[in-house]
Amino acid sequence: MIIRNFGVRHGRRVLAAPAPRSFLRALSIRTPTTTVADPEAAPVSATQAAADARKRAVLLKAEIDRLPEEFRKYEAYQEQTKSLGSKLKFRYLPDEVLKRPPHDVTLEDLMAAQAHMGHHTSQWNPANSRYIYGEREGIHIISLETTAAHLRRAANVVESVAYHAGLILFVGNRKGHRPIVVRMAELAGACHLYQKWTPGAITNKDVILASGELRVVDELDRTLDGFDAFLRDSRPVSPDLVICLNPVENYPLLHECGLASIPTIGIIDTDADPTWVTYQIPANDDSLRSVALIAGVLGRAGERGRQRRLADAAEGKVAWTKPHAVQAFIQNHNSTCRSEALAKLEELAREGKLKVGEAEEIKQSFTEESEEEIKAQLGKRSE
Amino acid sequence: MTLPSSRHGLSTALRSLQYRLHSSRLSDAVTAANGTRCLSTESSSAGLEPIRAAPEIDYRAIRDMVPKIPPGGLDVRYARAMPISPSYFARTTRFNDTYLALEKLLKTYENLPTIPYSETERVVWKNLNDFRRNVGEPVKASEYVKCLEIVKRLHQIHPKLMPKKVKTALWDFTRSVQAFKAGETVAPIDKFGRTIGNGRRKASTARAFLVEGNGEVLINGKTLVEYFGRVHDRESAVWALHATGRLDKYNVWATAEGGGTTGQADALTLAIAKALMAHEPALKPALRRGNRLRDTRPKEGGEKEAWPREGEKETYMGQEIVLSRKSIKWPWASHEPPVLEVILPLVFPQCKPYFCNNQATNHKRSSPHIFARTIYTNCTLQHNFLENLFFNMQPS
Repeated sequence: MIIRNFGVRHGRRVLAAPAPRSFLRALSIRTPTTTVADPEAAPVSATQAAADARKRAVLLKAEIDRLPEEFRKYEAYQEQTKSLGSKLKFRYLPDEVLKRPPHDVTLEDLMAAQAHMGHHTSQWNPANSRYIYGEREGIHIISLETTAAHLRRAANVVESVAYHAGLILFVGNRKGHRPIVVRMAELAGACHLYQKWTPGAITNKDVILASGELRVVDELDRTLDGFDAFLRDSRPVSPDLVICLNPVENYPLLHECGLASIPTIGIIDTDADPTWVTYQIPANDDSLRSVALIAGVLGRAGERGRQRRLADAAEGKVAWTKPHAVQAFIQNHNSTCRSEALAKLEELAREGKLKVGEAEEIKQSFTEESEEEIKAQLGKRSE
Repeated sequence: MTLPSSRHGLSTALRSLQYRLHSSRLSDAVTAANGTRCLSTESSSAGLEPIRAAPEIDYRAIRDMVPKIPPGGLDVRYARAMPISPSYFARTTRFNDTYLALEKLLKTYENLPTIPYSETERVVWKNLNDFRRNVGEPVKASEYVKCLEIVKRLHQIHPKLMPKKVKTALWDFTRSVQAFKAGETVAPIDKFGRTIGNGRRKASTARAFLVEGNGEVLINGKTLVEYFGRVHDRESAVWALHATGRLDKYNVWATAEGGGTTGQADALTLAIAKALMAHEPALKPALRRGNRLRDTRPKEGGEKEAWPREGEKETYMGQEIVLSRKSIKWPWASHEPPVLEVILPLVFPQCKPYFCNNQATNHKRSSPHIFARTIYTNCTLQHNFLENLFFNMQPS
């Protein structure tokens, strides 16, 4: 057994040990590639390599330390030479339409943005036949006159909703839609959504949007204080207008809007169902340029409406009224305050610290209610 | 207007109100002096003055003077509720706001000079779970990765040129505890040449004193062999010394309490490893490689250990061994045959006895009557020998 164990132990070790290198080299059929050492280059020792690394680190650190000063010099130079050279009058910038969206479009703009290109003819939705100009190279061509007309109508809707302080929501959740919807929402003072729509955010908003934070604003969009109790108990808000850049992927959203009677605007390609949205804009929804152009016009419309609303509000002209919930809260709050103050007055009058006439006068001063109502309230208090 | 809290405050407020009311009602001809009304019939001045019409009554001023709203009430003509964030309808509102703000920052400060990431101040960024916990939103991992990319790019801006806005924005992504800043603490060697290390595992805690010596180990006053019946426990207790070849260079005096033997053995592993680190800090990488500085094993409920496959290679004590799975069945119903652990090391000095509990690995292979143990051996011959041995060792 001892011999057997010995064989097991040492035999395995011999087999497990890697074959010697020289042996492997003999087996190899590849011609050995030996690098001929540069006779002038001195052999690099480990210490030398470490020293070099240290030197490089020191140099890098010095370079980093110099950076701020060099950057300042560079900036000064840029400033000095700013006025030199020729000026380009116009050049095409891909994100120009995002930076400075147009207020209105021409047919040429739409054509340049490929807004006229529909889908393959086999994919069409016949409900769109009235928006289709014709067929070319197997795809449908959208009538740009219709597009422009529908776009202007939609822009008017957006402007009007913005003027009446409605909450607008820009939705575009395809790849590349994010900068578009964010920019347009920024212009129009609206909300944006570039991710998946949470199903139920309108029809089940009390659950889905329970953690959403609200603020109460006045006619000049300044935040108002004293509404903490209201914000604590109020329901989440829903949009007053939804603009959808890709209705094909957003059926749940559009369906909810339909259920809640929220008007919608959508870019309808030749394969989309135009009945899903309230205001159709027949155009190519697969091209980011086309989508950016159309969304840009709508964003500008929102901006115009908002600016007009704020300008009118500064002059005391306000086209919207308090929502019922806010009105009810203010009335409740004020009537509570009034009864508290009246109770205090009564107490003062009982203690003889106020003359009879004085109390009445003060009461009238801070109430809009009639005498009878005050008396009724006082009666309630005394009961 | 706020409601005065004290009675005195209220009465003074009312007086001032009253005064304002009087003054608004009485015309210039009727003057109030010392609270008494008097109508003067004589002209105060001697000379004749041209008669002037009273100034136009400013109704707006009077209207404003009369408070229609009770103290503490809301005087608001227009109010409506609006979302604070434009991402109100998104599932990850706060995260979206943060992300868009970061993107904007990057766009603004794109042209500031940057330094290599390796040269920046070392910062531990929040991981996905930290961030999720902070914002309380189901942030997607892929989106958080993109966000961190922006964060790291902003972090590369030269520290002297980094705007304050960027610094505050990055603050949201740094962990509150920065492990690098704490520096390394090395346990001291006391005047007797001892170092101390603590370890914990399951319910056990251990504390080990390590002193240079010749390999003596005392745990709770007993030797290693006396204290731990299982060979596995003995080995794992001194694994740190064993793995670094220091078994005969240190003496260990340790206390272990709580839990069972396995827990105590593993707690000792950590304790001894830490004490050893204090003597020889250079051993840290070696100990880390052996996972002896930290208990990296998954906690209960985590992923179960995989069943080793036939022919799988494993290293044991620096030697590669080939595993062959053989099941040995013995007819008596004993869950822990103590003989096995005593005998196996004698029979197989070179191989690793591996007891695989079927229940622990979630493999339902045992029959109710015959309790099956799986033993990994390196040799079929030995396995047969073992099988014979066991069948001959049936209890009387």
